[in-house]
Amino acid sequence: MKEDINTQGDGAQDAPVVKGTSLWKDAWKRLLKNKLAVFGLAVMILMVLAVGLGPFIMEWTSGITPDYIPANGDLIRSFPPSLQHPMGTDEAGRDLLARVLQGGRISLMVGIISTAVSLIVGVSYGAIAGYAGGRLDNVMMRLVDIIYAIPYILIVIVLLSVFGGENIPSWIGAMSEVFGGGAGLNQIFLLFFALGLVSWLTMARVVRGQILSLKNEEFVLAAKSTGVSTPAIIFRHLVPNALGPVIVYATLTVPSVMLTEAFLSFLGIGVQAPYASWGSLASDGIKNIAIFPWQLIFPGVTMALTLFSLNFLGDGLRDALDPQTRKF
Amino acid sequence: MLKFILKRLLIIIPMALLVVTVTWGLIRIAPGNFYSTERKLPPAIEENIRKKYGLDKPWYVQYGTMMGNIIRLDFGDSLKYQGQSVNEIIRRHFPYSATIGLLAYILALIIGLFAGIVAALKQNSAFDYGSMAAAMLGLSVPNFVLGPILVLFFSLYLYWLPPARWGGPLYLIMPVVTLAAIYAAYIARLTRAGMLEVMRSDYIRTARAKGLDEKTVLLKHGLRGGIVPVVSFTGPALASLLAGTVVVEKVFAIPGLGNMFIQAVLNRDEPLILGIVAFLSILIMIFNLAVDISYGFLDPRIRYE
Amino acid sequence: MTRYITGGRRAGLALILLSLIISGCSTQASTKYWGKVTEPNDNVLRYITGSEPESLDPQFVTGQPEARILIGLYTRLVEFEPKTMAPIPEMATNWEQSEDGTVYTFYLRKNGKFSNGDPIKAQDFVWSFQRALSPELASRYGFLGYDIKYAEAYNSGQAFVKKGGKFLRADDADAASDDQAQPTNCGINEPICLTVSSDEETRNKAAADDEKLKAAIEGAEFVPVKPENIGVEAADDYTLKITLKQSAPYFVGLLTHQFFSALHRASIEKWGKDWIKPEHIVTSGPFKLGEWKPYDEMTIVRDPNYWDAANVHLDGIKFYPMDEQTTMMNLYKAGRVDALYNHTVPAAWNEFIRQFKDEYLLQPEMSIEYYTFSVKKPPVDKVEVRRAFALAVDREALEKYRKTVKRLVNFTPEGIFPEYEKVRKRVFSELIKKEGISQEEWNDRMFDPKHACELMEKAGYTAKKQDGGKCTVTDFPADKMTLTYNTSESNKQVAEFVQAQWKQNLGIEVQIKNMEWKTFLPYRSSIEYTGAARAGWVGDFVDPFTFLSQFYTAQNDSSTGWWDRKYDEMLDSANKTADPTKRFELLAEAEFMMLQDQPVIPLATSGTSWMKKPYVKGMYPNPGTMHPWKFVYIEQDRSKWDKAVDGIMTDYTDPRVESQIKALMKTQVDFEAAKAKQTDEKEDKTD
Repeated sequence: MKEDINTQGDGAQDAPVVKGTSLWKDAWKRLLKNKLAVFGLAVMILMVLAVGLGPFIMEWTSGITPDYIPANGDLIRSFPPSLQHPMGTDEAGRDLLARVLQGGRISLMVGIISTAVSLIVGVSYGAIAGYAGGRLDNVMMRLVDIIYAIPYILIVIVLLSVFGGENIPSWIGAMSEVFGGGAGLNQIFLLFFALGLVSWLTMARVVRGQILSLKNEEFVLAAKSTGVSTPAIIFRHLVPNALGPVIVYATLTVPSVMLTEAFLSFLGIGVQAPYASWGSLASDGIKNIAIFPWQLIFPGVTMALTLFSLNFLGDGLRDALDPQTRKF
Repeated sequence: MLKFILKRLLIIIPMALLVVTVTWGLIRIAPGNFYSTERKLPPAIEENIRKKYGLDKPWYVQYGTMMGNIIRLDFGDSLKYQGQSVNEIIRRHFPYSATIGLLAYILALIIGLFAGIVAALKQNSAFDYGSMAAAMLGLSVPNFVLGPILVLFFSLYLYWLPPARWGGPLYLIMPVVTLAAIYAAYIARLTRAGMLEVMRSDYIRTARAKGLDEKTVLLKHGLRGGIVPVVSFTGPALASLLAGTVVVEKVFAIPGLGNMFIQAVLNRDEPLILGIVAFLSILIMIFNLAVDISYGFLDPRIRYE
Repeated sequence: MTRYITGGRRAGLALILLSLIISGCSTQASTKYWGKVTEPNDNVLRYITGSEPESLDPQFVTGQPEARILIGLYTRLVEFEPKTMAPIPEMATNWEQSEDGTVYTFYLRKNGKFSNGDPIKAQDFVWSFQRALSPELASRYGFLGYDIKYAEAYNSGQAFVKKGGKFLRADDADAASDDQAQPTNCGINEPICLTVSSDEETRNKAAADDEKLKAAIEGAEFVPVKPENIGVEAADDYTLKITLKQSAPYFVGLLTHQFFSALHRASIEKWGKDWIKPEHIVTSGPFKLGEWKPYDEMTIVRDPNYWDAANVHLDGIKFYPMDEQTTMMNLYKAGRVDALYNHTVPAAWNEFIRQFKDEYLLQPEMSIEYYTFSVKKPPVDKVEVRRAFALAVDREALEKYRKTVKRLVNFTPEGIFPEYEKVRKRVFSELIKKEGISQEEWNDRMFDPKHACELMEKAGYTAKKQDGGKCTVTDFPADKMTLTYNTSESNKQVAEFVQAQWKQNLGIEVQIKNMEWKTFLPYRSSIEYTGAARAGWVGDFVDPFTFLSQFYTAQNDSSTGWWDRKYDEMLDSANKTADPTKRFELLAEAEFMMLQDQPVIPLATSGTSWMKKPYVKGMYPNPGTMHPWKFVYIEQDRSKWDKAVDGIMTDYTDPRVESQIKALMKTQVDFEAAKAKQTDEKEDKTD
């Protein structure tokens, strides 16, 4: 209840100011008042820092890299957590902490890039279809239905095999170059986009549903009658109003693309070894749960914690950005 | 309204054919073929196989034959499983997936709607926090982790439930729960968000202003608008659930259509892929149509021209 | 907020509980058995053999999962011996071969019956073999029969060449000599006739660069090879004569394969492709099809019509098809299946599972793991580079890591062909002397980074020396070298290990790349790849030739691009040699020659690594994990259950199985003894 009172209080204070704080500044203030969201944000910042800098620090201090397999055959086995290896080692004797950190890079990038692709495509597509209505809406939504019905695994296999290897689009190659490049990483970046391109469909449907229910509201009619252009109505009036469900759905998309990636890795069309992702580490770990439980627990808990925080953050963002609340 | 439904129903057929065509093209682009194995085949043997399955003909002839058969609803025989027709395979394996899918969705709906509505009404209460935390846990634990953990505990530690395979109701418990978890979490969150949204809207305020009691406001007006996102999620979710969820079918060795389909893709079993795709696409489109129709009932603001 | 933290605490508590449960599971293992073992309450074996069977047509399927089911459903001329997989009498009570090794005569038992009661006669085998090789069936395993005269010609739709009412002989195209009598018929007893493609275009193309062939086919008449031409004939109802195109000492062993099963002609001709449906199928083996629920369960039950039904112990076998290893292990642990197939226990579990001595079976297998080189593409087109890469992999460490495999540097598995290995050891030590290689250097092939670095320098690269004989090759084009493997947990582990080895020992960081199976296959076999690719090979029959034949002929299956005419000649002359030791010497020489060129990096001999409940008896961890089901039984008496099964192959015997094998062997043993006596007598007379 606290939050609601506060937001109302804010609204009351802001009311007399004509120009006032910008929409985003206002939302940011509101977000900071939501302790859970702040917690989520803090964890995410820490996580990003950890996976971003962690591998460098580890390599610099102890020389441990995620793909280092000991030369001594006796060390190539899964050791339980110890001082030297805080999360233990995997079956190849590789340090699990280093692998979890490196896997986090891949997983977070999967989540961010693929969700961004799906957001951009899905929101614009759904909004246009919903607003246009009639024949255009019909054609556009039927197209979504068609793509929806084509198995995404087939699409991913074809995308990865047609654009993989030497045929990698140059802009994907350039992106992976930033992170070190190489055939394995190129393939991973290609996978990010492939995943984005198969996961925008539900987003489009959700947005369209929202726009459909909003476009007959008074504020749209008002905007129309004052001569606001159609793109402006869609993207400045309708989309912000539909943002609540969109953000909630986007926070749902992040885990779902991470899981899809894990599933694809499991089928052998995902992340290239020796790279790993949280999903692929967890799916490897689950096989050994009865014998080497640490192989599942550490990547699993890290992944769960991240998704947890993402969801808190998403909820906070929804509350903060919700224009309906602002009206009060 | 009726005209709208009829029009949409009619359009499903050409759309399904389009889906089949695109899929066929994708299969042809994808490398590999159904008969390749660890050993390289002598050229003569490869030729025998290509001749036997008509792969030696030009692509448009093959496409024409395939489309001709599909229009007659004959998908032919699986290339991998000798002598089994695609229709027979779908008929045999769909019920498995449909059973666990439907049960899982019902379970998810019950849990999700209940938790979502109560959480929205008692925003920021213990129940709200508790159920949303549980929902987040549901979203954060992948089902390929949840399933094996359930198995470990109930089958390999307590020896209560069978760890896998298809049998009586006992066999259903763990797959259904595993499958339902993530959907229940989705539904709970969508319901809560939708309800909160609607409860703040003008028409609810109007209803309240009219002096209707809170229960009526909530159940008659609030719920109707609040579950729109849930409904739009239900269409595709139900379709994919009925089609089987590969992970659960794999973990519990259930002979469902989802696993069958993945195997077909990995085996490049063209007739089987096309058959399942056509079947599922029709199913998905019907569900989506149902979703669109239900919008009209649920949300008076949506109109169909 | 505080409530939330409690929630978090609760979640933490749950996690701790969970890990307690988990660790509880693993420490609980102090009990004798892994998971639930209860006295069996029926006489039915519940077995997991892998994926869903493609078909019940033994001549069509190629997979091991199917093979294990089908050897129970169909009878063959010879059966596997359950431990060694050597051929023992089945439908053939005894057999003999001609002096030159090209003609085999099988004498069939007279009480053989199909599941519908029809007798099994020699003609059934003739028809079955003809069907197996027909181009219309288009079996992927057709090549298994190519040793039989005209089998290949028939299977690939070739034709005889007829000129002036007479057929041309195969050797005419090579050296046209007029004094050879040209046959008027291309039967089993005549010299081998020339066969060419029936397709005019292909034929002319082949003749374009072959003057003799061009002359031979000019103005000739082409007569398609018919099924009757194949070298399989029924001398009478119970005598089968098989003629080979050249001698093949492994041939009887090959006949244990399900491809050579006896099929029921009438029902197959009647039902067409539907003959394998449960309501139509007619089988010939110890078991017949019971209920079949695809992807769920297949039951086979004892067939009372089987000639040896009295000695089939099980009432039936239930096969559960599935793909997930973890699920199989779960079902086994929960006591819902009795035995698993090979490689079901993951390598990493070895140390843990090994303590269940009465259940875990680990023995070397007739299967090897190796990497192929794309020998025609730089940078591995140089033999020095290939050998350097091969020497820079520490196979001892690999063995310690993977635990279920045995290190390997040769191309035939270790511990499977003991006789061959003995001969090979001798031949190799002679050959290295000849080549000027020291015994020490030869022994170091398992891992020799120092030599690897020297070889890299020899190939023209700069190698900076590091400690322990290691080095950093600075100018190697690592970006041109990938290590490709098809997706699987164990392939990934090996690839990551090898990549790390090369990085540590040579300072070369190659890219590794995984591919989904069906994408990988054409990629590897077309030798499009640069660098190395993963390969595995499971023998089709118990003879080193099944491995060495991979490099046989220019279109060989090695996926390396390596071929040498001399290698073919060596294998040919080996197979023409009747004396087994002599033959092995020749095979070993060929293996040596191929290894010196290093078109592959042999890595490991696989291990069986599976489990069975102690009450399942008569099932052995044999080299191919093939179980002739009629020897398998379920022991109700707890005191007779299997113990310490790591010694099951050597330390003790099962009298019940032994006497059963002995009884079956008797006909052939007696026959050979009688024959030996006869020849002795003959010799005595001539003396």
